[in-house]
Amino acid sequence: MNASVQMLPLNPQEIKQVNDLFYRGFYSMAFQPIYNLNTKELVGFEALLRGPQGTPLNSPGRIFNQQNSFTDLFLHQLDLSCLGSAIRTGRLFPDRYLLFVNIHGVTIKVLLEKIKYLRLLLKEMQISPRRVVLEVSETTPQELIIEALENIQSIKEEGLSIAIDDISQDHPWFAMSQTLRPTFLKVDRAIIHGLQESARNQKILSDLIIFAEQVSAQIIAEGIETVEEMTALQNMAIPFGQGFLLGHPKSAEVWLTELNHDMTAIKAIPGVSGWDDVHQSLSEQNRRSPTF
Amino acid sequence: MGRRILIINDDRNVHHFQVLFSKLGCEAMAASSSEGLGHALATSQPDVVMVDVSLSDIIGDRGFEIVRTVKQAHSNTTVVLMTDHGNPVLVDRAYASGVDYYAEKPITAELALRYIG
Repeated sequence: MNASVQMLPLNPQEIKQVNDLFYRGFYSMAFQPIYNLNTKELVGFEALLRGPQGTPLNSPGRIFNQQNSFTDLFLHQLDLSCLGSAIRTGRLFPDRYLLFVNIHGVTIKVLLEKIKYLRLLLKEMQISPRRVVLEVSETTPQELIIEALENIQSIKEEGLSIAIDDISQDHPWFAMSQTLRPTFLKVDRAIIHGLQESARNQKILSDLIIFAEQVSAQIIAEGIETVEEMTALQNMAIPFGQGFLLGHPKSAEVWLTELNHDMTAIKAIPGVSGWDDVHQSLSEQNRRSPTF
Repeated sequence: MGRRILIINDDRNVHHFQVLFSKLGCEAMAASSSEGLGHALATSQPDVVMVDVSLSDIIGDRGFEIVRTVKQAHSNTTVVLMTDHGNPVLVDRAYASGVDYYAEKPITAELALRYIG
């Protein structure tokens, strides 16, 4: 399916199908590698939502482009469930790799309300919060930005790192990054595409490099598809990158095979979350625990 | 009378599911092999069957055989396909196979309530 078809608006039947597929759990995560562009070392993976092929949940971009068709509750739960799925499957990767997970700024508030479940899941999956990088996309209404920034500070205190997705000088959080202190700034493909031939995009990126230094963040270039783009990024000393040139999104199992990782060394997990509570007497609260 | 749940999982985890579903007021039975499944299906009419595809090879061929067996024997039975870790290929196969739910372990109580309806 080409990109233009993928971005067609969802019709009411497709919206209903997305809700149904999500409720029935038919989604998983594909992982796209992120490399250190100087050392060529693999540093982590971005987890990307994948529903069944041939369904609208296979093209999450269409959902995120049409958020008004979904309830806030659905979108928050979708974010949290993707985070949970990324952590459950991301546990397969060796500890040295970071896990980047997309989340909307407004969902962070919900995440904080349910933080004890995230702590529990990280503990059960034996993943340090320091390996998890929340990649915050910007759809926060202007009037909620200050609150969202405060929530992000709180989530950082849990040990998780923050990346600002699609950073640009027009980004509503650009001016607040001094306060926010993200670990990473991700630069969208729109700026990387044809970088070697675009003085305008090179200037934008140069300004972002200066800005990143000011806020002690590292830049990750997204959407690298050609050798020429890669060379231009290396010439500008951009530290990290991802894109089809470096690796397509694949299942964790495929990556582990390519990395020659010993699958038998993977630690076993419990069948039931919150076992201590289940084993004693299942509390009402845990009956209603969120499906991270 | 509570719902009947048949859990097809390996020995390591099956006790967890039995306790969880029992505490939710269900009658929880277990089978850890295809042979055990045949016996359990012959002697009971489960409302929900939870199948762990991590039992078998990397994308769970044996698990899908079990799904077919269950759906042929009791088409109205809710089937939940479980896995130790996510895989988009497995999601495609699960969706095409006609299972009712796909789940990455560990299972929460909230999800268990969803499955028993």
